[in-house]
Order: sequence, then structure tokens, then C-alpha cells
Amino acid sequence: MHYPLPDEKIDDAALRVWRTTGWISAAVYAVIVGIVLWLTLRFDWPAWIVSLLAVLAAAAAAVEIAVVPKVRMARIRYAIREDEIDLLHGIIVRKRTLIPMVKIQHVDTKQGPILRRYGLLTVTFSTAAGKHEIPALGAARAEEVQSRIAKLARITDEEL
Amino acid sequence: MKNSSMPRRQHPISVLFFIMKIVKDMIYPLAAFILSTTLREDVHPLWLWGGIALFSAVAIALGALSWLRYVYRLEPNAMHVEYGLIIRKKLSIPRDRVQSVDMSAGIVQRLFGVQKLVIETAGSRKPEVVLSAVSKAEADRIRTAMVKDASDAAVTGAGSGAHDDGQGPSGASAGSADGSAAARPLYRVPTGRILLYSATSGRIFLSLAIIAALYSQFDDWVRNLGLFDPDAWEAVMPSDARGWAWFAAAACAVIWLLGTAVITVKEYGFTIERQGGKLLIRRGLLERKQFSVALERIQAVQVTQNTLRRMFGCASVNLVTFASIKNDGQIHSLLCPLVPVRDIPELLAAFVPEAVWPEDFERPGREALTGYIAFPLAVAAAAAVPGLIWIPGGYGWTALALPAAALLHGVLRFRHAGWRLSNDGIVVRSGGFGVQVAFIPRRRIQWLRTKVSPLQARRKLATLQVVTASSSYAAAWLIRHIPQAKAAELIERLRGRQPSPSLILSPVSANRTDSGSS
Repeated sequence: MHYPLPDEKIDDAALRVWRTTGWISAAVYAVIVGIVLWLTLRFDWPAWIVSLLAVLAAAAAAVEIAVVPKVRMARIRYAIREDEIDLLHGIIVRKRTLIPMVKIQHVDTKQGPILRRYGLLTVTFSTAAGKHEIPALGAARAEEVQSRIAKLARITDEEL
Repeated sequence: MKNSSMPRRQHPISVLFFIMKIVKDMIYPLAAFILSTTLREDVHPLWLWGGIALFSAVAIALGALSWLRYVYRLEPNAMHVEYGLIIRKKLSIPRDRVQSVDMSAGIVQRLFGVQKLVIETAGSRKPEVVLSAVSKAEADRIRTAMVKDASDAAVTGAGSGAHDDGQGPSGASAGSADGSAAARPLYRVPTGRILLYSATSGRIFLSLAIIAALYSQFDDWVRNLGLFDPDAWEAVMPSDARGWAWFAAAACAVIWLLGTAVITVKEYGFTIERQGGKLLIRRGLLERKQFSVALERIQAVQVTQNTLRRMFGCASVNLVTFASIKNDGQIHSLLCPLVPVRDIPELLAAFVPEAVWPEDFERPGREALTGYIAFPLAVAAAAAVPGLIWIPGGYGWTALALPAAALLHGVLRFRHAGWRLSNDGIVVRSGGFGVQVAFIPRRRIQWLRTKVSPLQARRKLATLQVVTASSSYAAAWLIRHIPQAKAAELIERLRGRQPSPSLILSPVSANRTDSGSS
């Protein structure tokens, strides 16, 4: 590589956020399996349907809680340079995305209920061809990142 | 120019379009009213006719009022529109935000010698301003004023002030009127080529599907109405397999002819004209359409060849713009329906000088071949297994056509994959049975991405994704399975500092300095 890889990490608490979302998915899967179990008992469905579903749900939940957050955390890096934003992300497919600063139209922060519980914010920035995000930054850091991008993006006022 | 910034209204005939819009908006209550009155037993006909008369009167009155209330004003660098019956809305469109201007004339517009004019901006996914009827001169005036022309100042020395009402180059042959013919390339696609384009259009399969759907509806409908004796109907329809095959072939032929005719009528007389920094594209036999876009607004250019057109050595050229009107139901707008491949470099140089046809392409190495064929082949092979087992009569082997086709497609995709980097952007070639060549100016790239899948990681390969903006969210081009070092090199070249705005319309430099080594 001719230029350095981005090296800034997101907040460590992101791990807990993603685990929480993993647990929420697990709860949803449990409800679905429960409904199918009820249907099986009520309408005499063959038992293999519910067993298969339960195994799949357990596997998916385990991956989402134990594996995905760790891998995501290990992969995700960002760098905000003067002329571009550089992101490393992706769970199975490793992605590196470069967004020229001049193409950024606006920067926002967003915070769902889980992120709020851990005091984190996600910074999103839009180009004319879609949105990108740096997930789960501490509140102070998010504000810093947002204002930094806004400042750098405003310098060059090129049209679409 | 005293009158240029005066508030104006559309041609009075546009009242008709306002009425049509009102009727369209009220179609459900109207249908409910008609159904509820006709389905009731003892309703006096006066109720029905009176209701319809009242509705018509209201629609006409509201239409006329809407027309009165719809006022627009053109200023040198912006257009202001005021409209709305109850809630007054004001709209200002700065010229800098205009992506394209469309002019068209349907049957009604033609009868009254007026034009429909549509202005598109990047901000919204639907047209910003629709003037359903303005005079030709007025439409030209708006178009000239609202399509940004970076070279206006340079060419005429007077900017937008040089445009006199109605004196715009309206005729296709009027381009050389002011003696600067060299600056105004004009190209009319021969009718024979339009016919070939229509005949080889893939859209015919779409129309096939639509007609089949319509037919199934029609069939039910006919049966329900009892207009036809079902037995007589059966007698007309073929009864055995061979009859059905002939019937299907005949139906396809008819649909194909119909589709060809429809597209020919739509694209007839396709003419491209470049006036300095803008392109004017005119087409259509019954409905004459004109599309204007500033070169500055073109995000990318794509040359597309489907399988049939490849056999004729022809390709079509599309523009990737922000225009929300879909010419093909695709995100691209047509620059030229069909052109012989050998004429493409010249065509591009004349109309979209930023797109320079490369002499050759860099290609992925042999190590990429696996990436192109392995996955599709595996999927196709898996899909063929049930066929091998269950197709009766010893014809199971025919299922092998599936993996064979997948293999061929993969090999073709590998062979077509290519790119050529220049100082100003990148040209990306891709395709399987068809071929696409996209010209992406570097300064139009919204973002870049490299992707490494687990399979690619082992062989140190990567996929490069180049993304520009377009009317539908994003237009992305992929260069797959190239060495990671190569991807990094391409990114390094593409992400470099943007050239200064003064270079925007300068011709692309001829001395490309690619290394070509991989």
C-alpha cells in the first residue's frame, strides 16, 4: 500500500452495543421459534421443522453475540485526513472505502436507544451517491469528528 | 431586457392539463360516486348526470384557476415559480442547480404548437418544474437561460444576455447560422440504424411479459363478460403442443414487430447537437422530445453493447446524469441509440470530449480467472443436479447446459474485464454476453472502495469499486479480482487531488502516462 491504513479505533463500548443488538436478535429468534413450536403442537406439524429452526436460531444468535461484534471491532478503523475520509470495515468481506472530502454534502450524528444507553453516537456523512458512517463514537469524540469533517468539507465548495 | 423578468403564465391550453391532473386526483371519489349511483336500483338518472356535470364544472373551474395562479418569472440566473390554489407555493430554482431541461410535444401540444418543458434539479427525485404548455420560443428562452453553459461567456462574450427570445437555434439545421459551425457538432442517427436499434432492443422481452399479463387479464375479462362463447374461443386456440409452439412463435413475432415499431416511433430522427458546453438531444416522430444537459452535469458516459448488437458491430452510448426521467427505464439517458463501434471514438470526441476511447485496456491476470468462474459454475452445477436425476426419457444430460453456460459466461466476463487509467479518470470495461465500457471522470467519483473476500484474500486479490452519483442513488462500476497492489495503485491515482475547476472543459490530454505494467 502506498499510503497508511487508517488507524483510529471506535469506542470500546461498541462491543457491548453490538452484543446487546445480538441479544435482541436472539430474543426475536426465540419468539419466532416459540410461535413455530406452538404451531407444531397445535396443528401437529412434523417435529423436524421446529428442531431445525431452533438449531439455526441458536447458531445465528451465538454468531451474532459472540463472533460478529469481535470481528467487527477488530476490522473497523477510520482516518479523517485533510482531503478524504478513509474507512476500514466489513465482517466477511474486508472493505476499505475512501470518500473525498469535496464530495461530502453534509454530516450528521445519530443515536438510537442502545447507543444512548452507552453514551455513544454514530457519525454519518452523505455524498450524492449515498451515506457512510463511523459507528459508535464517544459523545465528545463524535462531536469532534463531526465538526472536523464539516470544516474540512466546507473548504472546497465544488458542485455536483 | 425589460420583459424577460416579467411574471408569465403558460399557454392557455395548459388549462386542459391542469383539468386532467384534477380529474386524475379525484378519480377514486368520482369512481365511487358513479358506482354507488349506478349500482343502486331506483336512482333518478339526473343524480348521475347532474353529478357528472357538477364534477366537470368544478374541475374546469379549478383547472382554470390553477392556470391563473401558476406564474413563473425568469431571471438571468434563476427561475421563480408561484403556484397553488389554497396553499400558495413559491419555488426558486437557481440556474446552478439545474441538472437538465427536457422539452417534448405530445399530440395536444403539437395541435397548439406548444411545448412541454420539464426542469430537473439534483435535489429531488422528481422533476422540479413541469410547464405543460409554453410556446416554442418561450421554451427555448427558458432552456437557454436555465441550462448552465460554462463556455457561454467564452463563446459569445456576453453570457446569457446574448440570447434573444425565439432566436435560439431551434431547427436541427440552424446550428451553423452564426458561423461557428465548428463549435456545434451535429449528428443525426440514420433511420436504418434506429430501426436496427429498435429491433435489437432487449425491451421487447419486457413488452412480451406485459402483453402476456394483459392477455391473461383480457382472457378472464372476456370470459366473465360472456361476450364470447368459451367453446368458440377454444376452437380458435391451438389444441396440441405443436399448435401451441406455432402460436407462441407467431405471437412473439407480432410482439417483436410491435415493439420495434413503438421504439422506432419514439427514437425516430434522433439528433445530437452540442452547443458549446451543452448537449441538445432531440428525438421522436409523433412526440418530439428534446433533452438538454450541460456537459458539466454529466457524471459518466457508458457505451453498451448487448449480444445482438455486438453481432452488428454496433453499440449504444448512454449518459449517467441526474435527470430523473428514465429514457429506458434505466438510470442512463441515451446519447446515441446505436453507432458502429469504429465511429465511437469520433462521436465521443465531438459530443463528450471528456470520454476518450483508449487504444487498449489493461487486463486482470490469469489468477483472476478462478474468481470469475468458480462461484457461478458451482451454483449452476448444483442447480443442474436435480435436472440430471429427474429429467425423464434419457434427456437428463440437457441439464449440463446450465453449468456450460455459466462457464462460458464466466470466461467471457474475465475476457471483457479491463480498465485504462488516465490523468482525468478511468475507463472500465466489463460484460459477459454483452459489453459495457464506462468513462468515469476522476472528479466525478463520489467514493472509492476496495473489497477483499476471504477467497480473494488467499490469492492477494481485490475488487475495486468506483462510484458516481446518478438519478437513482448511485452508479457503481467494479473491477474484479485484480492484485491488491494494483488496486492500491489505481486508488492512489484516482484519489489524487482534484484538478482545478478551470480544467473542466479543456480537452482531455492526449499523452496518457499509464505504465501498463501489472
